[in-house]
Amino acid sequence: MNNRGIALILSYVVIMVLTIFATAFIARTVSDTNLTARYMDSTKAFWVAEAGLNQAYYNYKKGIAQPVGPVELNPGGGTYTIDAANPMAVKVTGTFGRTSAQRILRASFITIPAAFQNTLSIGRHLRFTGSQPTALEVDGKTRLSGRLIRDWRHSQRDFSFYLDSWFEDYKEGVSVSDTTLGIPDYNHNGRENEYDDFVQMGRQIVDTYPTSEVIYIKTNGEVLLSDISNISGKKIIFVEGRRENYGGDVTISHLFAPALKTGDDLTVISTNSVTYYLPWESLFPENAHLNIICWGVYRQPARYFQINPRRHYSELAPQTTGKNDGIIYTHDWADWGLASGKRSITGNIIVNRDLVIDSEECRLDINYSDRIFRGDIPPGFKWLFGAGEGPKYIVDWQEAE
Amino acid sequence: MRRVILASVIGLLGVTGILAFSSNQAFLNISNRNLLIATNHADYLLKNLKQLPLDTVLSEVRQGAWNWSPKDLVAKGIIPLAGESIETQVNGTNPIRVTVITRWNESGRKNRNVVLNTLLTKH
Repeated sequence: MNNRGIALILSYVVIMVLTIFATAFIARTVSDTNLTARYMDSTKAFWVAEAGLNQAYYNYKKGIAQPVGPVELNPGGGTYTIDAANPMAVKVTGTFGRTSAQRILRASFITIPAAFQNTLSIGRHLRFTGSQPTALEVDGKTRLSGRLIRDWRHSQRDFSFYLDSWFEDYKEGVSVSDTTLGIPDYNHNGRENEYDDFVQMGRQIVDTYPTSEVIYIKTNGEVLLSDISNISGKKIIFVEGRRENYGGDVTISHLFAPALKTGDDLTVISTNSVTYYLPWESLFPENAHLNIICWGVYRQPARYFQINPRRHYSELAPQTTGKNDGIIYTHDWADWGLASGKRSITGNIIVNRDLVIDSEECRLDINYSDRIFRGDIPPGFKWLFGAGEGPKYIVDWQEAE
Repeated sequence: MRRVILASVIGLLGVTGILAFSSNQAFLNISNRNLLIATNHADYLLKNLKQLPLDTVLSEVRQGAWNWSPKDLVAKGIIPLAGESIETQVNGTNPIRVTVITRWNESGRKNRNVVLNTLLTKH
């Protein structure tokens, strides 16, 4: 048998095996190197994007026009691109390195309207009506664009003698720009403060939250919010009527807020009116917030709303003490009926038109909340912050997927 | 016999080659791993720095509070690379340019570093 070529063949086989191993090693090394480079470039791209976002926010605060197109971060390299056409939805893309790694950051630039500096902010008059005077105690600033009117039903008597109200810092005749909130032009027709702007705003708010945190109801009728299970963790309830003054009224029973849990922060938005029966003081959860935004009238009736399960209709129960912790805004007027007892509200109350207090000898304490100025914006409220003068903040920083 | 010698030489060359590749791969893997760790440490520092008010960032960085020696890294619960240290520099007033440089020693190579740059402004 002739085996003279076997050594050559064997050496070929050995070389082939070695070549396969070597190729595998090279491939793995190249892959590791590429992964490392990509990771490093991605981290650097993140900080380039962060640089862009900080530059954009600085420009926003100083009123400087945002740069158009990619801007090089120098030194360090990498480029960022700022898209700040809508300050509520700023997007900055950072790009870095030979892998062209990209990271995208989003945030909202907001200007907090002056009305949020006030505890009680009224676009027109503060009217006291009813048969008995009330004791109103307002901590912080009370600002009215109109004036205080005492319009007691028993007008023969001078109830001002009994009026035991106390305002820490009270001013009348203030400019409406400091007491009211407009609705930005969300339907882009060149006009602000329209009902359709409000509806569009509500829809956009709904879109910005995960569906698990939102309840969105479109209705021709009225919605009753009572002791809803699993309400904890929700951020937005948006009730949209069919058209202005038609459908979408919301009634919040006194059983609703107690279903919230500590730390919950919920905003109820209605395209029509909201009637809120404050819960018993002791039942309002600690460190929870129930906020309200409505286009129509905001009512806070004198008595509790109670469902009678046997008769299937609602009835009224007498008021003693009630409490709310949250920010309340109505684009229209507000009507607070106060029966004997005590109520305590912590937050900001912004009423674009009259606030009518229909009282029957009671006490109302309103305490200021500075949460907005601490950058703790309640769900949905940033959409009420249009352009203009006022303290500017960056909120809702997040990295895009 | 000549053929056997030739085959052995070729085989030897091949084995030497593969050993060289292996060693190179091992070295590159360590190098890549170190680069990842160093980048992570710089990233960690910047993320912490970013939480502070701008004035505090300026004063603390200028005082050297954000220059971390291997001892500082250990004290913060970070396992440092060989001879690793982090230096933080600031320039400007508002927005400020922040540069974080992580330096470490790598066996068989000169000292290496990774640099992260960003801008921070008053919030």
